[in-house]
Amino acid sequence: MERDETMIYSESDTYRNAYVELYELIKWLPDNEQKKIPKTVIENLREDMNTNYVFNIKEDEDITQQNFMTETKALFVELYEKYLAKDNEKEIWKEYDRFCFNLMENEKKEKYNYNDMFKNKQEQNEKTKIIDDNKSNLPVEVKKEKILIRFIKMIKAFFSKR
Amino acid sequence: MISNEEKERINAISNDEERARYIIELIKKTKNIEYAKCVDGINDTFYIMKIRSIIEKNIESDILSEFEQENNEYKNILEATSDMTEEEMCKYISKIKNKDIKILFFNRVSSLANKRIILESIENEIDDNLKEPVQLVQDMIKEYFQTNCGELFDEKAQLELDMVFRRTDVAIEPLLVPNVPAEFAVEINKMFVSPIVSEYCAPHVLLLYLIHEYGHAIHSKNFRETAIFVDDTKLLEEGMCDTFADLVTYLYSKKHDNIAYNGKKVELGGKSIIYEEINNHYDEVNNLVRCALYGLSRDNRDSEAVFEYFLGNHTKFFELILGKEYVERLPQDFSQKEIYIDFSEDDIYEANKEGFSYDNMNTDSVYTIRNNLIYKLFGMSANEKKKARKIAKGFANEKEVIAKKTQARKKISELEKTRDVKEKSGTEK
Repeated sequence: MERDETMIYSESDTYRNAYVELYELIKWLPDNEQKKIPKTVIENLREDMNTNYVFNIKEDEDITQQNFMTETKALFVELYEKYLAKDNEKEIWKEYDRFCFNLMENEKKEKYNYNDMFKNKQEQNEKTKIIDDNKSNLPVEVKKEKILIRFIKMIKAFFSKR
Repeated sequence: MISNEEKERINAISNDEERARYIIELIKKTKNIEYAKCVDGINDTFYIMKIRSIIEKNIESDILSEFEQENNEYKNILEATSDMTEEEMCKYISKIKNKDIKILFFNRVSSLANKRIILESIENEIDDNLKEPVQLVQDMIKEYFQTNCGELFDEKAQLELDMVFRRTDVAIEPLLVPNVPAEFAVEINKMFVSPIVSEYCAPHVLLLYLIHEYGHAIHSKNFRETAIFVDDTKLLEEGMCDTFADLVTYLYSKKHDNIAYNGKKVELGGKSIIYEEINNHYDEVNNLVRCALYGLSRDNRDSEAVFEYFLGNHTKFFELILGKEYVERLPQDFSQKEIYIDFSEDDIYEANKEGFSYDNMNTDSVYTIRNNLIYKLFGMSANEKKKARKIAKGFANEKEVIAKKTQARKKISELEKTRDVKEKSGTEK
């Protein structure tokens, strides 16, 4: 079974498929890199993955250009950070994690508007309307986009020095 | 050239003695020495030895009568010893004069104690001027195997090495091929050293040549000089013997001071003396051999490979340097006279990738000095290491990945946890 782009998967199914892709990606790495990943992680990955899902890495294509799911990519980045990154890279990856976390927190705040959760519905709607209006003027998005670009530049600059 | 029809005619003779007689008759009739190489398929080493010894003889002489005479002697010995115990047979063999036949029986006998009976009855001829350097070189070689090969260099291997030392004659003689400093003639168990080397070269150069030639003698200890060609042209044996000479001298120089022979002090300071001293034709195969051994040196399996090549088993040697899967694909029978194997530095790298890691790169080694090829393999290793970083970097830049990163952290944490058997079996259900 290959991935069907039109199908809606549950979160659990999505990750079970992502584990297949991640496992294939790990197998593709050089042996000495593979050995740095704990056996427990590999064993549990194999146990939890969807054995009906098929994903093959195309040897003749650039690995980063292959059709990996976003979940797989995020899992690989996490795996790299934890087990494969050299000590002198650790700080930049910590920074990257803080950035990812803050970005998500800000998005959640915007989405759920925690501070106003217990105010009456009308007030809340009005507030939401104001936020939506502000959004239409793009101040938050633009700010977020700028941070993202700046961060990506920072990562690129870090790695290009190596 | 020998025609295929003639080869087929030779191969059709199944009896070793008859086949040997037929080949010798052919050489006598056609004066074509190439027929002496047609020993594949002959099982009795005596006949292989007799055919191949013709290469060193004057073929105008009566080679067939000589063969018949020696064949009769051989058959008489077989008959005389047929009812004897192995020990009685060895005592009988130790009293005969023919050295070749003694060596044949030494190889056939299984008991180490009986092998020793024959071994002790053999004497070699060594030029007076070479007695001291030859003794020194024999000690150096023995020390290399004792120090580096541990249990592999067992009593049987030690006896085989002693036999090579005991049986090999060493002479100072001008060599027929110009610019060849030394040579080992497998057919007659004799090593030749050019007077130029013995008289005019620095003392350590003679030692290096002697170790190199002893490498050939040890490798062809059973009268079978298996020529292994790499990529059709490079003779693996020469790269192995050169590297062996460097390994032996380097180890000895680390453990001993005041090395000398014939009143001459020997300087063995360098790590790759044979490379530095001798501008030979074997650089390419030297580099390849040294890459292969370097790949194994991280966990000291290089000495194991050296042992398997010279005193052990060719299949094991190739399994070490090229991997088991590669060897399974090889169709060759390693007992043949000539073997052609196509392998390159890429195959060596694939078999022992971790050995070329930049993290534990050792440029101060016998294998890396003057070896440009090895830097290609270090480079391949460095590129492989960058693979994971390249992927992580590419993915991390994607906005959608950033959004999933916190969730990914949780998922990996879950995967890190050890699960008990019950939980596992529950999952399986």
